[in-house]
Formats: sequence, C-alpha cells, structure tokens
Amino acid sequence: MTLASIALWGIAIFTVIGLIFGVALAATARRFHVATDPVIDDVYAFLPAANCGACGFPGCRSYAEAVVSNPEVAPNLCIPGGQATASGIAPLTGKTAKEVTPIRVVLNCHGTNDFAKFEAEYNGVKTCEAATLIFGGAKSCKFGCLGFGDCTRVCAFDAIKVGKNGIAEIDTVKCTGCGKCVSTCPKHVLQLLPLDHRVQVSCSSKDKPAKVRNICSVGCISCRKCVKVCPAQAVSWDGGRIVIDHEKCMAYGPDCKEACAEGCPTGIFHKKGVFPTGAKKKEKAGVAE
Amino acid sequence: MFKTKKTFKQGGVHPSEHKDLTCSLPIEKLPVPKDILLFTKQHVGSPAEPILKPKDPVTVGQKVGSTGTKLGAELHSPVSGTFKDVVNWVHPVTGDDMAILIESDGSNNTPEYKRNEWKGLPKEELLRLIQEAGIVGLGGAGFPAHTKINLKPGVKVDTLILNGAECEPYLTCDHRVMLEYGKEMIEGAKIILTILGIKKCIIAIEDNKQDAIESLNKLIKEDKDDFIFEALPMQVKYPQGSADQIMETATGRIRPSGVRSSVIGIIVQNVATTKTIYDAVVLRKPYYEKVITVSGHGIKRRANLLVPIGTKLKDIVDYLGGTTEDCAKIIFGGPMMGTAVSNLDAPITKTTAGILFLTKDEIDDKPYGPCINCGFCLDACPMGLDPRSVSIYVESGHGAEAKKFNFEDDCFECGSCAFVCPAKRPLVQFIKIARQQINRAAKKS
Repeated sequence: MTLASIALWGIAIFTVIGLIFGVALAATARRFHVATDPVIDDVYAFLPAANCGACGFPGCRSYAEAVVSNPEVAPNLCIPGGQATASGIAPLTGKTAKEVTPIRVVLNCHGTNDFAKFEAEYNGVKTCEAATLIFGGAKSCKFGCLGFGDCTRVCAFDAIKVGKNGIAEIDTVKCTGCGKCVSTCPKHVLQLLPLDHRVQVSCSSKDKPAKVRNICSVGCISCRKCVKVCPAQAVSWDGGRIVIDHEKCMAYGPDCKEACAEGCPTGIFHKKGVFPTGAKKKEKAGVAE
Repeated sequence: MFKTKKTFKQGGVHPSEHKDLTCSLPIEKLPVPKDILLFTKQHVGSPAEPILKPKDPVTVGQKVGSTGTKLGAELHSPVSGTFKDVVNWVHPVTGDDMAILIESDGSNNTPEYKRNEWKGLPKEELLRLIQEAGIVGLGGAGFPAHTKINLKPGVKVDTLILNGAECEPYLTCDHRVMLEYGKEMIEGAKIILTILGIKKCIIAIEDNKQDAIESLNKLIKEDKDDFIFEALPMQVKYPQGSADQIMETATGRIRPSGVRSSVIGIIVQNVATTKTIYDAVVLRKPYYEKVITVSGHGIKRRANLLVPIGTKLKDIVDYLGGTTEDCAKIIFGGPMMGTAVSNLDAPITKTTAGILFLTKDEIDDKPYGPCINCGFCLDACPMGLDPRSVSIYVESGHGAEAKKFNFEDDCFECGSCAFVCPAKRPLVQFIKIARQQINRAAKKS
C-alpha cells in the first residue's frame, strides 16, 4: 500500500465512524429530550452565576428553576444581583419584586498588627480555622480578626483581602453581601449590614475593660457612653458588647449628628468608613508615660 | 542468648528520650502556693459544681466541687485558706474555662493521714472511697477512675495492666513514682484487683527504666498475698504507653475499633493513678496533689515535683529559679502530645504530667512544605491510619470528606506521623481540623 492510499483509507474510515456516531447522538438527543421551560434560561441570564448560595438554593441554576416553577419563591432573593436582578426576574416570572435593600459585609474588628498585641508565635497551618483551634489564635484578644484569610478564599467576588496590617479589608464596591465569608469566619467578626448604615462598632471583644486596655489600643472599654447619648435608643449593651439596631438608627436619620461616634473615647464606635486610628487612646497614654 | 523485648507490631517511632535530665532526681515537694485555681472540669464528663459560697474557709483536702451522680470526679482543695470565687481562667488545653479560686493562708497544716485496713471491705465501699477522692486516669484523657473499674454486669475481665511505659520523651514522673512509691502502688493494684475480682496484674514498663523494673521485681518477690504480679519490660518505642499498644504488647490482644478495652478482658491503669487509689483507700486522702516533671533546657533547675493541683505555672517557675534567656517554648505535657502555652498563669490540672521549657535548639519551628507522598506517616502510625490523605483533603478545603479514611475513632493524636514527616507537616493539627469539619458537616445535615 502506498502512503497515499493509507491516508485515504484513514480519512474514509474516520468519516464513516463520525457519521455513525453523529446520527446515533442526534437520535438519542431527540429520544431522551427533556423539555425545559425557556423562561428558566432567561431568568438564569439575569443571575450573576457566582453560585454563592446567598438565596438559599445550591446555585444560580437551581434558584432560576425554583423561582420559575414554585410560585412561593420570591424574585428578589438574589443578594449579589440586587435590585437590577430582582426587577429583571420579576416580569419574567409574573411576580412582583419587593424592594431589595443592598447589604454589605463589615468587619467588627480593627485590631491590626499595630494596635493589637500578640501573646504567642503561631507556626501551624495558616488558616483562621486551624489557629482558632489552638487557644483561639496567637493574638491576645480572642475575639478579633486573625488575618489568615479564610474569608478571602471563599469570596466569589474577590472583594475581601488580608492587607499588610494583618486584618481583612473589604472592598465595598466589589462586595455584594452574599454572606459566604460571614458563615466561614471562625471568629464571627464579619457582619452583614445595610449598605447605607450610618455607624459601626469595630470591636467584638467580650473581655473586661482592664484586659481590653492591656491587649489592644482600639478595643471597646465598655464605657457605654454611646448607649447613653443615642437619642433613638438604637444602641444597647448586651452584657458583653455593644449592639446597634441599624433599623432604628437609619430611621432616626442624621439629626443626632452621630453623637455616639463623637463621644467614643477609643474611636472604635465610628461613622461608616471612618476607621479608628488609635489616636485618642495614644494621646492619653502619652500623658501617662 | 539475646532476646528482643516485647513491643507492638504496627508503626511507632523513636524520638530521643532526654529522660536523663530528670530521671535521677528524687521527688521534691513544692511549698504551698498563694493562689490555687481548680478547673471545674478536670476530667471526662460533666463539670463539677462548686459547693461552697465565696469567703467560706477551706481546709486541706476539703471537698469544694462535686459532680453528684453524673459522670465526673469530685474536687478537693489542696490548701487551707479561703474560697474566693468561681472565675474564668486561662486553661492549658482549652484556652479558658471556669475555675474555683482558693486563696491560701500560707500555713502547711496537712492533716495526719493514718493507715486504714481495707481488706474485707465490700466492693461498693471501695468504689465509693475512690469516687470520694476524685481520682481520674492520669494517663491523659482523665477518665474518672471509679467508673472505669466499676464493670457493667456481664463484662468479664481477666488482666489488669499497670501502665508504666511513660513513652513520652523528657517525662520521668511515673518512673519516680514507681521507684519511690512501689510498695504503695502494688497495694493500690491489689485494691483494683479486689474490686475487679481477678488475680492477674502485669506492670508494663519500658526497659529504659531498669532500676524501676528491678525494684518492683524485688517487691513482687517479697509479696506474700495471693495475687499474680509480673513486671514486664518492654522495648522502648513511642507510643508504647497508649492503651491499645500496651495491651497488644502485654497480652497480644488487639482491641477492635470502636469498643472499650474491657471487651477484650483488660483494664489499663496508669501507675500514678494506682498510687493515688492507694492514698484514697488506705490513707483516705483525697487526690489533691500530683507528681509532675519539670524539664527541658529552658529552665534554671529541673525537678520532679510534688505539686498541689491548681498551682499556677508562675509559682513553679519561681521556685525553680526562673527560665533561661533562650527559653523558646513552654509545653504542658510531653513534647509529642502536649500543648504549648503562652501564659504563665495557666494552672496544673489533674492530668498534667509535666511541663517542658524548651530552648530554640530543642524545637523545630521551620515552616512546613507540601506533601511529597513519601508514605513515612503511614508506616509510623501505630493504628494503621492514613494521615497523609487527611492532611491533603484538609489543605484543599474538603476536610469533611476525609471521613472516608475512618480515622476519627482510632486516631488518638499521638503525633508519630508529624514526628517522621520530612516535610515537617503539622499532621496532627490537620487531623484536628478534619475532626472539627466532620462534626460541623454532621451537625448541618
């Protein structure tokens, strides 16, 4: 056989095999065809396809299926998609979308390497979960952010990173408020808040004030000034830490001029985006020295 | 001519012993410390409830906490002084826990404990005495002793093994107890044998403690009672002192996974526990002090110390002249299974066997690398498990799926795998994480 005939035979055989399989596949596809609602695909196109699970369904596809087929599933459950997705899905499914309040994640700790003290050196597995298993981590404060980035690894939107200062930093533009990091964090220092929240407490410690003063310069010293000054009674003390009722706070509006944040001696009760600098505390410490 | 000593078949490692640092030092008594902190949970079971009110005076050996009818052990004050309060204190293993704070009045008025005859007492009375004394297994987990030796009806046991292996490097407290309290220990064993209604007792000792084996052999020869004692020298191999391994070595029986050791007819007790049982029954002295080894090159003076339970680490360090400048790590327990502590306020618990002050040369703090699939850990694991796969699953974020390697029941976190790992991987930590993730996944579903 010449080289040319080998090549020709080869081409012929594979063409025939290809045709046989092509026909077989086409026949099977028609025979076992599953009819899907085309609306599901339309709905799916509106979803962010991040499969974060914030809606309560295993992924975007299953939410699309559920919202189309089940009349009880609301069209505004996609948190990353927000208002745009909700108003896109609503007409397709014949449901009315309630208004979606955009939410973002915030970190209730500002114990960076400069502010928080360490009581040990940690050499083990570099995840927050692993460090928490050993005396709650190397930081003296057992409530603060450890900064090994368990949240970074689960974020589907690349919105949370551990910076040079050793704590998680949130990109509020990229963050969609899906809450995946909140459920991952072993220290429970991440919290979902409405995007337009006014104030925030950057400390989760339940320790006694004397201990907090010793181990962190941006810790809540439980003076409860904020509780006393709030005209809307939105700030309360649960016996361990400060709790803010953001609904009440936002409903009251800006008339109080954030008296709570102004009065805070350590600056950890602060306005949105204005993080504590430890300055107030440092001034006092300088005098004492 | 040359006979190899007995040991267990599967796995095991040979860490350097460092026992010569303290093995020849006789047991010293620590002066009465100022404060005593007794954790309400020093054992397996429910925490003890404090039974005194703040400012109540306490005497040496007075009961201060009780678990009642629940599984657990009673708590006794090692000093006389004042019951202050129940406080949240730093715990050497769990981080922090509730502890009873007793302020000592500084006097050393230990009551005279007189010898009581125990032969002829009914079994229930003996068990009650052991329960009243608050004795827990000193080998590690702290299982209440009276529950362990109170067999359920239908369970037949034929051998008692006294565990004197002390396979952890550095630790020599059991060695010293066997040497100095051999007679008491044997009488304690007789009490356990009487409760169990059997005759045979094997005292299993690693053969790096020749002097202890000899002195016990002498005591056994002198013994006139109708019990069969045997001092069994074993090969030096870690973890020889684990219950499964010591049962295999001494009797050749292997415990099936998931059942208690009494199912294969054996009860294992630590030698120091046996001595405390003697104290409880013969002297009616509650368990409030224990022998610990303080060793390592990071402390000025090393010692085998008799310390009151609840003594703060700080008091022990002060008594021994402080730490050296290059002390880098403090470990509660042995170097293989112990936990590092970061706070000198941590007190001694009922199960603390030793405190190690290690220098930079004695520890290895190099970062770990990726698994190179050498399989050393599979060879070293005494339970025939697969730490390698568990660690890789955890690293890739699928810890809950590591359940299929069936390590949860059998792994007792001896650390042999991490000891041999050439990549220095913290395999025990990976296993702990996997355990937590499996538990969490089980709770969710």
